[in-house]
Amino acid sequence: MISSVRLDFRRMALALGVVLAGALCSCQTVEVSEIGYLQQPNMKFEDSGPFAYECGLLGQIETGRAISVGAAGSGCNSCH
Amino acid sequence: MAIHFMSRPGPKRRRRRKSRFVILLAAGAWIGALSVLGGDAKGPLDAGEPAALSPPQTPQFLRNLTLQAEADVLWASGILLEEYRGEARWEKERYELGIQFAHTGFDLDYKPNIFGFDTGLQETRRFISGDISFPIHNRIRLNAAVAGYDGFSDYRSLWISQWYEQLVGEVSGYVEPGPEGYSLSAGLRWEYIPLNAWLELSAAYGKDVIAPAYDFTETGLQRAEDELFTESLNATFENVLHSRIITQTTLRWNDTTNREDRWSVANETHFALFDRWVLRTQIGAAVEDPNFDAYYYGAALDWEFAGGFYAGVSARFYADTGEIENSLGGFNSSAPELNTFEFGLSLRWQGDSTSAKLYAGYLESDYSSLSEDNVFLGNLYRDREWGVFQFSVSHQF
Repeated sequence: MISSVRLDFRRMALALGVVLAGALCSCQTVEVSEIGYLQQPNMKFEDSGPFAYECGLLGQIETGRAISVGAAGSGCNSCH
Repeated sequence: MAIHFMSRPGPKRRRRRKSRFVILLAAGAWIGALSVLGGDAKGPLDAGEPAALSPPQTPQFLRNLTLQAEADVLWASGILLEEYRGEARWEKERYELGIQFAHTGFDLDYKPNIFGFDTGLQETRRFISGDISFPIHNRIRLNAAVAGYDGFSDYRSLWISQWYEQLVGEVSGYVEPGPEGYSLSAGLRWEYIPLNAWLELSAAYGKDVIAPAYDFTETGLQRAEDELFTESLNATFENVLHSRIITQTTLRWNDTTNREDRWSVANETHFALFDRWVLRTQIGAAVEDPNFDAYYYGAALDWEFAGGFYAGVSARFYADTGEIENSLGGFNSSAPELNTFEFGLSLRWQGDSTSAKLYAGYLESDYSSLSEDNVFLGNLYRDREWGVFQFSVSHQF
C-alpha cells in the first residue's frame, strides 16, 4: 500500500521555481562540436513515438498530470 | 440496497468487438507495411557501392514522410483501456504537416455499490487532429493545430454516466449522452540562442460536450450544463545547461467553464551520465481552487547495451487531493484523494530510419476513503493494481 502523502504545494512550487530560474539564467552556450550527447534519441523531448516516456492513457487516472487541451483532459466531466 | 442483474452482450457489443479487431488488424498491417517499404535496409550502400550510383530507394510520394503507429493498453480487474494511435508527418522545404488519429476503447465491468445493476460497458472514442508548422524567420516557426473527438473522454465519465442512466434513464427529461469536442491552438517556437535555448508559446481554445449530471428537483429532473469551454495558455522553455544536460520547463494556465483557473508547471531534465547511460527526471505540479493540488515526480534510466538498443527502468509517483466537487446537490461523483506509483521496464531500438519501443509496467492506484455523498461510486474509486503495456514503431522515409 502507498502511504498517504500530505501535499505541500508551496514547497513544490518553490522547487520548480528554482529549476525554472536555473534553466533561464544558466544557459551555457554549447558549440556544434559539443552537442553529440544531446543528439542521442533518448535525450530529446518527444510527446509521442518510441522515445516518448509517458503512457497516453495515464491521464485517465492521474487528472492532475493531464496537460492535454480541453476540459476532457483536466478533470471529472460528469461532476458538473 | 444493490439490485443486480446479469449483463447480456447484445448486437451492439458484438459490433464494437468486431470494430476493435479491425483496428488491431489495420495497425498490424501498417506496421508490416513499414517494415516492407522501408525497414532499415540501406541497399547498395551496404554493399559498398559508391553513393552516387545508388538508385533512390524511396518512392517520390513517400520522401520526407514519417509514419508512426502506437498502442497503449492499461488494465485492472474489471477494466480494460486500449488506445491505438497513428501519425503521418511530412516535411518539405521547412514546412511541416502532421495528421494524427486515435481510437480508444473502454471495456468496463460496471458494478454499482448502492443502486442499479451490474452490466458490461463497451464504448469507443475516436480522435483526429492535424497541425502545420512553418518558418517566418530563421529562428521562429509558427504552428497551428485543430483536433476533434467523438465519444467518452475517460472511463470514469462512462461509469458515472451509466450510474445516472440507471438512476434517471426512464424519467422524463433524461437525454442520451453524446460526448464530443474539438480544440484549436496556435503558437510559435523561437530559438532565442541558436542550438541552446528555445521558447514555445501557444494558446488554445476547446469545447467539450459531456455526459452531464442529473438531480431531482421540485420542478422535475434537472440536467446540468453539458457544454464546457476551455481556454489555455502554454509557455515551454527548453535549455541546454551543459553539453550533457538539457532541460524543459512548461508553465500552463487553464480556464474551464464552471471551474476556477488551473495552473500547472512541469520540468523534465535529461542527463547523459556516461557514454551509454542517460538519466531522465521529471517533476510537476498543478493547483486549482478551491481545493485541488497535485504533484508528481519520477525518473527513467536508459542503458545502450548494444548499438541502437536501449534497456530502461523507470519509476514514478503521483499524488493529488481529489477532484473539484461542484456537482448538483445531493450527488458528488468526484474522485477522492489519490496516490499512484508506477514501475516499468522498457526496450527501445533506434535504427538509421526506424525506431521501436516495448514497455511493460505495474501501476498501483490508492484512493482515500469516500464520503457519504459519493459512496455509491465505491467500486469506481477503489484501490487497483494496473498493468501497463506500450508498443510503438516509427519509420522515416
